[in-house]
Amino acid sequence: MDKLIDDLLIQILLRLPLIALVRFKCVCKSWYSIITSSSFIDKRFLFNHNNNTHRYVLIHSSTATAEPSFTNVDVLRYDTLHRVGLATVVVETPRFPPAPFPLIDNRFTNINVEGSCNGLLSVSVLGSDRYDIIERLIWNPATAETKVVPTSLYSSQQGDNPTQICGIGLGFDAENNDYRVVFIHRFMEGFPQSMEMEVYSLKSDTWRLLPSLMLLIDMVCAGTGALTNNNGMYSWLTVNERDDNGAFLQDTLKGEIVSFEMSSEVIIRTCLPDDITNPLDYVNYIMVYDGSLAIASRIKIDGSSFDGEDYEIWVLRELGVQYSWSKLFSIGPIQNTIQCLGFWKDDGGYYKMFFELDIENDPPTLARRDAKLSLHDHLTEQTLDLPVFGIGMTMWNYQDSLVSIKYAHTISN
Amino acid sequence: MASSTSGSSSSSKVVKIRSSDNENFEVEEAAAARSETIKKLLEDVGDDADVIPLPNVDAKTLVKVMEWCKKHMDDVDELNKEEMKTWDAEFVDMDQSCLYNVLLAANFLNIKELLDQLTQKVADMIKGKSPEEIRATFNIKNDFTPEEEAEIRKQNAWAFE
Repeated sequence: MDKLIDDLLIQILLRLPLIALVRFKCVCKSWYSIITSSSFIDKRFLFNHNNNTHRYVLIHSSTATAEPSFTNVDVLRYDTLHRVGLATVVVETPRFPPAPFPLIDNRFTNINVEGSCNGLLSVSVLGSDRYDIIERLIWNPATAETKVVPTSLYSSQQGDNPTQICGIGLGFDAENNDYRVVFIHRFMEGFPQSMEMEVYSLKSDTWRLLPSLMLLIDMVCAGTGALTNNNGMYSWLTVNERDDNGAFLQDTLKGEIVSFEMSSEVIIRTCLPDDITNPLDYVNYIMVYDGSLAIASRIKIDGSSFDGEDYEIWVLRELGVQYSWSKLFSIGPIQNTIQCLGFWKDDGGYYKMFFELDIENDPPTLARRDAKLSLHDHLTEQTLDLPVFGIGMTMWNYQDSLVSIKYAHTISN
Repeated sequence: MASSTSGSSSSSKVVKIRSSDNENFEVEEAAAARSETIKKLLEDVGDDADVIPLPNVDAKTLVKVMEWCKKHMDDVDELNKEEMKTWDAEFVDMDQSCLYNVLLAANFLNIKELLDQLTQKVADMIKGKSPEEIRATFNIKNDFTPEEEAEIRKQNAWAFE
């Protein structure tokens, strides 16, 4: 085969797995410069995103049966998930460069995944006690590149009024070509407890306090269960126990989506649909469906049901507009559900829901046991178990990318 | 029949194309129009077209490309999808020089779907190869110094294991 014209060469390179691209960097100078160019890296990311190739689902969980418990990250390849139902699914760790974290039984151990965006992960690294966070990193698993995120302004302030992080987000600021980590802090002292938001810029390597977060005062964030929508927007599900005038909401709590736009730093608040009467976090789950922000809401909320749980899927068409919620479909009943994790799009373009399910049908016992990961197809109403076990699962969509942390970090200098 | 360009139905309408080595072919218009390049030429010249010259594609390659176009002339329904997949897989399974020529032709004739299949085929063929094998396959000269190459290999050692 003779020399290929560049355009065709790029089309071929786009279709290669990451490991081959890394190897082919030393073919010649022109291949090196194509493979490492940001235009190729962007093109490849978009190509794989659109074709559903080289994509992964990360499941972060803890091992219930160990004391103290381990946290693990299981990596599920989309192409093995496509074979669910045809053959036994094997959880294969993709060929990645050696990680800066221990890999035990093909799982990344003792790290918490806190965000996933454009091939980068934001992770916290746990100490030997498996509880305390020793550092936070931005990590590209595909290149093994890491960047330590400096301690945030409030995290270092432990004095009179210590803070707790109740919301974390990782997103891309397209306007400045910068990655941002967002923390929402809640002050533990004082009444009402106040909230502050801090934003880290990878480019400038600094934290900055956002004055605009007065809005969030009195808001109780529903854990750290948040996720990205269209990269540039990060949303959290929150429960508000006060109205806008600061008065306690007596019998009803107000559920709200709080969204942060990475480039403009604008905060948009959207009330949950009126039909969702219970805003609590163990009833509603925030996720992305077909590029839109969505809520999976448990229908029967009183006690557990032997028939299983039903969920309604609501999609938000326009941020900030409560009446733009629309109910798409229902899922269930599904037995032994502990929580909904999020959607995954299969080869045919159909969305299936990941669930964390209790393994046993028995009444609850005091013995700690792991839950299992299952994939539910609401069209065929089939639920398939995957060989992933743990408790407190969170799900992240991840796609391998050669995006450079260092480059993003230094171009501003 | 084949020489008639004034066919009654559009499905039997035939166009003439000429390869770089001056061979003429008569192809159903619906098949030829899979090529955006030919489609555009046909639109430009209208029904007055005598023969459409394709100076970048030789006869052997053109036969191959038109074989694909004929197969992909009609929309595939769900039932035939699997069958078509098998046919496509067999079609792209050709020797290297032939593959290269068809790839260039598909690029020139602007047949996106065929181009996708061919570039994917090349990617599948080369993904397991070493840099040395890649250089041999594509006739590429290594312009790195031994030191430079050693450094890149060292930084990416995991990909060579």
